Parts: sequence; C-alpha cells; structure tokens
Amino acid sequence: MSVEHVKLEVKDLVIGYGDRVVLQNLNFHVSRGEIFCIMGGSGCGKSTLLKHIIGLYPPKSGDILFSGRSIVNATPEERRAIMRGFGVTYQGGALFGSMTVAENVALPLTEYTGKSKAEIAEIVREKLKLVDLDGFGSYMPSELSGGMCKRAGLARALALNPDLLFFDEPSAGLDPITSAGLDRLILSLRDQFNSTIIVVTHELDSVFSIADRVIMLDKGTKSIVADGDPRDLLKNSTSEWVRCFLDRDGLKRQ
Amino acid sequence: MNGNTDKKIHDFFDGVGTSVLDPVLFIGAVSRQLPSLFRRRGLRKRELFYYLDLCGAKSIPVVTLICFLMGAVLGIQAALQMRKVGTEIFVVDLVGFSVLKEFGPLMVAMISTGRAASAFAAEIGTMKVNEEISALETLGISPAAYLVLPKLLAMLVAMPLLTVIGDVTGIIGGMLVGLSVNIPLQAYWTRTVTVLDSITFLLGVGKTLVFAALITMAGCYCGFKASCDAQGVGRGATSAVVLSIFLVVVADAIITLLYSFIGY
Repeated sequence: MSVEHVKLEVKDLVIGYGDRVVLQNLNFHVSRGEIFCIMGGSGCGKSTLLKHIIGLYPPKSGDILFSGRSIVNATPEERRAIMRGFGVTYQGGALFGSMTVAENVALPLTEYTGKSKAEIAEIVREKLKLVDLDGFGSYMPSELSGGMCKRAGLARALALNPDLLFFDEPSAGLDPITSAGLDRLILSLRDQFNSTIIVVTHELDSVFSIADRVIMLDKGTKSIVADGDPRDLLKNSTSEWVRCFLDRDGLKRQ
Repeated sequence: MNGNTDKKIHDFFDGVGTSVLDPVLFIGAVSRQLPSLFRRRGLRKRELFYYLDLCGAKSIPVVTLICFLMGAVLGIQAALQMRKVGTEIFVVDLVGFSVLKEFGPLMVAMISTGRAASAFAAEIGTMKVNEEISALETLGISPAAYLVLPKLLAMLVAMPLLTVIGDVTGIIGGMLVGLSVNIPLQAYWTRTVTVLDSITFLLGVGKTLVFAALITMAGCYCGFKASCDAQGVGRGATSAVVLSIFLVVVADAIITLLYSFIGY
C-alpha cells in the first residue's frame, strides 16, 4: 500500500485510563476512500479507541498518523489543524443545545472560513439537504428525534467538507429503517465525495451493508483479533470466536 | 512498610498533586486563550449578552432585596448599640463603611455564587455528558475559549454593576432605619457623603473583579471535572458553590489585609 493511499495509520498503540490498559498492540491502517468498521463486544474499548484516534485523549504509547502527520506528537495548534480535517458524528449527535440546527451546522464555517452570512446559509441548506433535514434549520436540537439529531450532527461534521469521517455507533438507539437509511447515507458519502469513513459499531447488519474492512477487538486479549473483509472473516476466519460473533444472523444475510 | 501502605501513600500524594496541579493547568489554559478575545469573532457577543442577562440583569431583584435588608439589619444592630452612648449619628458611618467595603461586594459575590457558579458547572457538566465538549474539541475549537471566556467577561462586567446597586440599596436600608432613631433623611445623606469617599467605594467595587474571576473559574472548573453522569453534574454544581464561597472568603480576607496597608 503506497503511503499516499494511507489516510490513517495506527502504530503500536496502547490506550487506557489511569493505570488501566484498555487496548494494546494495535496496528492497522485505513486507506483513502475506504469504509472501515471497528467492531467488538460491549465494553471492549471501541469508543475509547475512537476517542484516542481523534485526539481527545493521549495514548499511553504508540502513534496515530493522519496522512503521515502524527496527532500524538503534534503541538496543540497542530492537533487542532489536524482535527479540522476530519468530521466526527457522535452517538447522540452532540448538537449544541443553545443553538438551532442551522447554527450548529454553521459553527465550523463561521469559525474557520471568511464566508459571508449568505454563503454560509447556502452551505448550511445544502448540508441539511444532504442528510435529508431540509427545512429543519430553525429547529432546536431538543425538538428533533434521535435519528434526526445524528443526521444534524453529520451535517455539522460535513460542513468543512472533510475527507475523513468518524461515526461513533451511528445505529445505536435507532429503528431498523432509520438505521438502514443512515447506512445508505454513509455509502453515498463515500461514493459521492470519496470520503474515508471510520465507523465504530457492533450492529452486524450495518457492518455487512457498508464495511469494506473491519477490525475486531477482543476484551480478553485487549487487542485486535481479526482484520479484513467481514464477508471473508465470516467464512474463513481461523478464530471460532470471530466466526460466531459475525454469524449471529449469518444465514439471513448470506 | 508493606506494599499496601506504600500504595496508599503514593495515591495520597498523587491525589494532592492532581488537586493542586489541575486547577493551575485549567487557569493556564484559560489565560492562554485571553488574546483570542481580540481576534476576529473572538468576542462572542451573543453568549456575552446571554450571560450578562443570566448573571447580571436577572440578579438585580435579589441583589436589591438582600442588600436593602442587609443595610437595614446593620442599621438596627448599630442603632441598638449607639443609642446606649447617645451617638446614633454614627449609625451612618457604620452602615456606610460596612456596606461599601465588605457586605455589598460579599453579598453580591454570594448571590453570584448561587446563581452563576452552579449554573456554569451544571451547563458545562451537561455538555460533557452530551459529548458537546468533545464535539467542540474535534471541531478544533478550544472549550476554554468558547465556554469560559464569555462567562468570565460577563461576570467581570456584571458583578461590579451589581455591587453598585447593592451599595446603594444597602445604604437606603440603613437610611430607613435611621429614621426610626430620629436621623432625618437629609442629615443621613449629608453624613453619608461626608464620611464616605470615592476611593472607599471604588476599592469595594474593585474587589468584585477578583470575586468574579474566582467564581467563574471555580464554576467552569467544577463543570469540566464533573463525571459523565447525572449525579456527577449535581456534584459538580454543589462543588462549584462550595469552592466559590471558600475562594471568595479567602480572597476577601487577603484583599482586606492588603487594603489595610494603604489605610483603607
């Protein structure tokens, strides 16, 4: 894999809180334009890994590189510059409750671009349309459903046209139809904009719908136990645990 | 010494170190963002006006009432003692100096602690639970600049103004009590403007700038340190109030001591 095709590279990463190690010996890379899923059982450290990758917490050791630039060894200013290059969608949307949906989406634009109010309003309208929330700009986050909050959060994450997107449990708490709609949206983002997308999930339906590649984390060994195409892993993984995990509703999907 | 005792000692000093270092790092992080106020969009007017309303305008009725009553209570207590020696006129001096130098700034600080420090901690704690703080960070926006500076600025403007209102209403409270001990309003006012000088008034108001900074920093710090659950937010708000009161009283003692060196 040539360096220019690697969007994210994780090297010998060890993460945890205080004295506790959550995950160790993590090595993987994500290629440009790939939809990459981080899977594992509840409490195995999926969201913790995501928070470390996006620079919210410092790792215990190891390195995380975005297009070759280390976020671990970056100065606070450099880290912020790297962070501005990606969009993150949180489990609950993480919309700012004191702002309308449109103001939430406009925030990164007003912070980092010199665009006029009219230009920003146009971009906000476009992003809200992209996530199927056209006409909801004046709503407060408290007036939206869970799925709408997530889509509004995605619109905000897309505001600066990042080429790397992170989703933390996008399907959590959503009904199957809304969840499938979100999966289609993720696929269309990759197809339309060639975005690199990293999704933390344990929803198998989503994984088999969208993932080009998955890594599976194991709570026991605190490390990656499988890395590859989910369909290949389901059929050919040497680990019985991995096959069992992926095969819960395997017949229905195959 | 066994390993268990070693660990306990290590944990104790580790805890002490963290509880001292963390607030210092927080103050440093906020201070580092102060120059951003002078950059484009650095001053967030909408947030500033929101907090001016929350901490300033909405506090006016309670500040007015409490300072009025406090002035009246001071007047009654002073009158009871002064009457014994026939020097009721000194009620004016006692009420005036006490209100301007101590009780006005302190009462406003206590009210602001209840209103602002707890509100700041609860707001930031809830934002933390909802991952809004994480969202700010991943948008490349400093939470210290975005969340703390508008609150700090609003408090630095609101508290001195509230203190002026508190001072005036406190003196009015004393003035009404003065009537009951046969000090006419005109005489009370004349004595007040004779004995109180503008420096006494300004030094009292100046104290509140320190109080405003302490209350804001304590409230925001407790919010950022709150654990990510409903109880954590509640504990954060409580800690903010307790910490703010403690810091305000300690700061008041130090400032009073410093003022005494210059004869005030």
